[in-house]
Amino acid sequence: MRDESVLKKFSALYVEDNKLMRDSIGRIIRRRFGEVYIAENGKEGLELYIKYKPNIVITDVEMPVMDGITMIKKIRAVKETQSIIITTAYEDDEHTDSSCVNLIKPVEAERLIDAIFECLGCGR
Amino acid sequence: MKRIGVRLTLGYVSILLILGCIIIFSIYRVNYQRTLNEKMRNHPFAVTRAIMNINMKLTDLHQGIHYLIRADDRIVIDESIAKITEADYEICSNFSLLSERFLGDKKLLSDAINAYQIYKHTNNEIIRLKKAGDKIDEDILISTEQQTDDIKQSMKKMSDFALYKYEYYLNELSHVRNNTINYLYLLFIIAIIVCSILSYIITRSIVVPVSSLITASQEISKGNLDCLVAINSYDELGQLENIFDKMVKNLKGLHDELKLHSEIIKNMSEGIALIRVADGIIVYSNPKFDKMFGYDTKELYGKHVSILNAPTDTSPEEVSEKIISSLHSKGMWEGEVYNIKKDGTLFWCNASVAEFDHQEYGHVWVSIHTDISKRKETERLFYYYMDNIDAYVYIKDTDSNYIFINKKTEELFNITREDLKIRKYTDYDFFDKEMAKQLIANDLHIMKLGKNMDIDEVGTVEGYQNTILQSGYRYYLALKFPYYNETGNVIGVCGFSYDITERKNLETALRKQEETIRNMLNILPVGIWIQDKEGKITQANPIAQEIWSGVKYVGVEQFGEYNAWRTTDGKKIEAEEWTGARAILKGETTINEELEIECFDGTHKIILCSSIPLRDVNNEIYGVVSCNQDITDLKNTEKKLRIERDKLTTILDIMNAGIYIVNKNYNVEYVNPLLTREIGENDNKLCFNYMYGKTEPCPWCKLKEVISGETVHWYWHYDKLNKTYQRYDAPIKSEDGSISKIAIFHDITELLNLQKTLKRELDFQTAFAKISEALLDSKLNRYDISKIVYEEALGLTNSSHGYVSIIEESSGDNVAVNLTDMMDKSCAVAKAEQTVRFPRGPHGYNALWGHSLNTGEAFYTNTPSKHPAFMKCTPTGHASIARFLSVPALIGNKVTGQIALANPVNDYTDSDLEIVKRLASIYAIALERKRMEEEIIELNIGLAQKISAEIKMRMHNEQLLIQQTKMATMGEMLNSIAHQWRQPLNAINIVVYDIKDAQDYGELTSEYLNNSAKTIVEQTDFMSKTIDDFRNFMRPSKEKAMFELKSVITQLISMFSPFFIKNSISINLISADEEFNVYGYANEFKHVVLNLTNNSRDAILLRREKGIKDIKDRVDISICRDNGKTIVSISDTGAGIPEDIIDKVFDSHFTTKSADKGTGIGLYMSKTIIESNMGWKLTVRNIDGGAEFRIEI
Repeated sequence: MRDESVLKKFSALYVEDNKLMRDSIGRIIRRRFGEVYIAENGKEGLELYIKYKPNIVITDVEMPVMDGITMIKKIRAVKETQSIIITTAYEDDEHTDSSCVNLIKPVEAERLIDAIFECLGCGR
Repeated sequence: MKRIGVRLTLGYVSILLILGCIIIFSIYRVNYQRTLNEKMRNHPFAVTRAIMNINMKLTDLHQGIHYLIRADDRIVIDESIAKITEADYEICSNFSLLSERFLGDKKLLSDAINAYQIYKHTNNEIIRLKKAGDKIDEDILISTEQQTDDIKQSMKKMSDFALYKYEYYLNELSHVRNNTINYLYLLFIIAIIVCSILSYIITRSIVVPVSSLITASQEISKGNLDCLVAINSYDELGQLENIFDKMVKNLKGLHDELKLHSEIIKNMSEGIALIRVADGIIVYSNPKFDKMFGYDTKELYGKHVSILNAPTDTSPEEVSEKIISSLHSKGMWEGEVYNIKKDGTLFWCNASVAEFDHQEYGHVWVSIHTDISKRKETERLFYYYMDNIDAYVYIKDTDSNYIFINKKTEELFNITREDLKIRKYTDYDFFDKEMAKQLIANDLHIMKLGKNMDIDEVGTVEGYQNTILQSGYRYYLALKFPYYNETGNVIGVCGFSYDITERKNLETALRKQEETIRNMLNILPVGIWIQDKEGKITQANPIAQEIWSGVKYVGVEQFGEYNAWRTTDGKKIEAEEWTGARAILKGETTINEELEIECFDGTHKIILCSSIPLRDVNNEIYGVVSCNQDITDLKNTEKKLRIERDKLTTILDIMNAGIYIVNKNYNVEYVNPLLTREIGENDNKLCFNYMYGKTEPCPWCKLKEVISGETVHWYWHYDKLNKTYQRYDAPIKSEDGSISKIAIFHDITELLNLQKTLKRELDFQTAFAKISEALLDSKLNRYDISKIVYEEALGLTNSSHGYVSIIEESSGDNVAVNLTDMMDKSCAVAKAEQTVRFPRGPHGYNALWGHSLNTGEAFYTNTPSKHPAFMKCTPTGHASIARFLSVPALIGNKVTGQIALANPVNDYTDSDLEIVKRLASIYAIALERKRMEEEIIELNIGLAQKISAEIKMRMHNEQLLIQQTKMATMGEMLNSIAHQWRQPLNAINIVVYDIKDAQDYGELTSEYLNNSAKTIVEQTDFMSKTIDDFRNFMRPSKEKAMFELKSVITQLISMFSPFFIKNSISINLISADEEFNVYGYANEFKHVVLNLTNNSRDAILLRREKGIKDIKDRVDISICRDNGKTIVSISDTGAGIPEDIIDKVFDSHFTTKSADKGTGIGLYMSKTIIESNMGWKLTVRNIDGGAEFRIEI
């Protein structure tokens, strides 16, 4: 069992349009991270990102107002090495880029946390 | 500064201001000195005086004290006391003055006062003591002394201060005075300088322009008008300069004008002279005047004016007197004077004289003379001319007042021209009221029209007081015309009136005579023309006008206007060639010259034209009478007849028929060229002789029947020419009334031949038709065909025997199934079998029958025994062969059969051979076809079996394909379900994890758990609903029912949109906000729409594969109504369908996709469902940037 308390010194941005997912996963992340910022769409997410510069960004792809890909592009314009976890419903490679990890929906919480660790390079 | 006043005022005010300043300064300084004086008086003087007073009084007081002290006596005491009191009073008042005026240290004063108070107190003590009679202590005296000194001491100090102050003031005063004087000097100097400068500037600004004005004025006075003053300012002087300049300009203008006038006067065409009123002496004359009178320049100066007047009835002096008296009374005179030149020539002048005051000459007459000699002469000429005209000449003004009448009119009106100047005369003065009114009306009319006018005016029977028209009607021919002034306005009317009464009477008599003649001419049935002496046409009677459709009353030289041609030679009649012209010019009489004329309406007529010159007693020609007779109708009839005759002859000549006429005596009267060409010239032969060279009538002659009135229609074969004619023999009336025969021959030989050929051709066609029919009949075989050919061949050639055979392929034998019954019973060929086999030998076929088979050539012979192939081997009983014809049936070079014929009535001809050859060629084809047909039938049987097997296999494949399609749809469905479930499954997963997580973090409560459970139930419900939707979708519709297109499509989109979104394709429903209810199988419809949208998606992906990606791809499903139909259109932004395959996309098994992607059954099934099951229509077309499927409901 890894020590999840190391995450407490990190901050995270979670962007998801589905309320149920946002609430549930939001809770799970919030329990572990020091600071968690939650947004409903890419636009909000970008604003929060610029404001708080979180250590990790977890985002859905298909969202209203601004989709995840656009948001990621803009975030990368700000910080190229930003660690990002993408949760996507599609199994294709379309959304894959240099961002840290692609998670295929359905997102399992365990896998998400694994991905977080992987991205932050905290090891197991 | 604009105005001098302002400028001056400012200058003066400045000077006054400077002076004022000096005065104020002086006053101020004086005042200051006075103040200082005042101060001196107030303080040092007053204080010094007061101190002196105090000191003096103090001395008095002190003395009084002393007296008092020493006094014994009461009186003395009292006196002393009074003295003391008085002194005290004085001292006190001086102290009070001091306290007012003293400016120094107030302590000094108070010290002095205090000292005095002490002293006073001591004094008072002394007084009290003395009054009391007490003894006064010596010490007191000493103290008083002491006190007095103190006071004096204090006073001294004050006095010193006052003195000091005095000195100070004095110094100040002298200092101030000195300063003041110095300042004043300085100020005066400055003031004088400033004032001088100001004065200079102001004075200069006035003096400069004034002096320039003065200079200019001097120049002008010298006569130089070109000098102008430069304007430098806008003040009064500037204005003055401006006005001055204007004045100069005006003056210059006037000067120039004067010069001009002077030039004008010198050069003007009127002569001008100034005559002194006082003595009538000429003082000035212009060059024209001198010239007019023939004097040298200035020669007339000083001469009396009467030298100019011509000596007429009245002496020059008298004329002068008359003018002068008029001038005296009226101030001017104008009129015409008869003058004399220096050389004595007399001439008329128009002179106008006016009085004028001349600066130099005093009272003068200005006389302007114009030489009017020419005008006078013209006037005289005019009057002379007018007076000698034998007509009434007059001019009236616009009010019809006479302003001129000639002598004859003067006589008529019994007035003179001079009378017209005395009073106004109008026509009312000379004619009766009605007449005058009419005349004036005429005048007004002319003036109004502005045109010349000829008017017949009739005088009345009434008498006139002052005319010579005393009785009876008088006729006048008046020529009146408007009288224009130079500007072109009508100012009156001019008139000439001739008395034409006599002429009128004569005319009336003549007119009557003429009328009689005219009436006579009018009733003549021919056209009559009358020419006058000059040859001019003066009359044409109605018939003449009718002939020509009009008339032109012209002279000989214009006779050319009458167009005519001589009928004899067609030559145009020139003007002088007319009979009338010749009559008048040469005195020729012409009778009935025939002419073709062109009437004035353009029609052509033939006339007979005659002319006779009319001669008077002296045999002089005074006119011509011409006569025209219209013979057009006559001529036309004649012409028509001739034409008809010519026509008939032409017809007879050119007719493609022979015609001849024979009379009852067999004499040939006419033979037309055609018949002449065929039979030969007829040299008065009798008909039978001509035709046949016979000596008696032919037995078939129809002459008798024809003569009796019958028309015979018959055919005649003319042996001589071997021609057959169709003949019409008809009676014809001769000139003498007897009946002849006209026979029309129509050569029908060719026709008959043609008919024969045609019949054969028709028979051949019939044969061909029969063969064709047989060929198509599958029941008939080759031998049936040969039988038909056999019958037709016999018929076509009129042969009595023959056979038609087929070469048996296996043996090469010639087998005839059909043959005529030409053999006897003894013949070896059995009739019953109707089959005969001609065997093929090793060297081909035998005898005459085999010849054509051997050679492959058709032939005939009418003498078979002489034919090289004749073998004399006819079987026993065989009919003898008289004529023989044989034709092989060939396919290429291969002989497949034969037609053999024999023994017709007549010989065989080439045409027989030809027709049989044609028949044989058809026979060959027919045989070949039949043979092939038989082969095909055999083949077909095998083929049918193969096909049915193939069909079975295909149907099986189709089943498989449909199954595959269904499976593919199922797969798609499963994908959809999987996608739809992914979200809820994920949610459940997360919620479950969250429960565990909450527990780990100690957050789990029963409420938390309840919420989570609720969420999970919601998700599973959603999943359950999804699976229901898909199950419904998969279930085939049981029966047709109403469904709503929009809701169905919306549902479909919600189920399958993820597959489009996944590929970044938007799928949209576009429709109006209304319901589209249709009747059909809803689920099947959904399948079709799904199929089509999938197709669209594939098309888009295909296009992307080709590399075209920068398009916002979309699939639009639109519902609309069009012409009562509901249209569901599925359009995409895909690759479109290539035009070469667009017609095939709905075909079964047609696909452009690779085998793993498409079965080619989808669109086929869609079309089947829509069109066969629902009865709707499914079409496809390419649209701009994609394809569109349309379902028409």
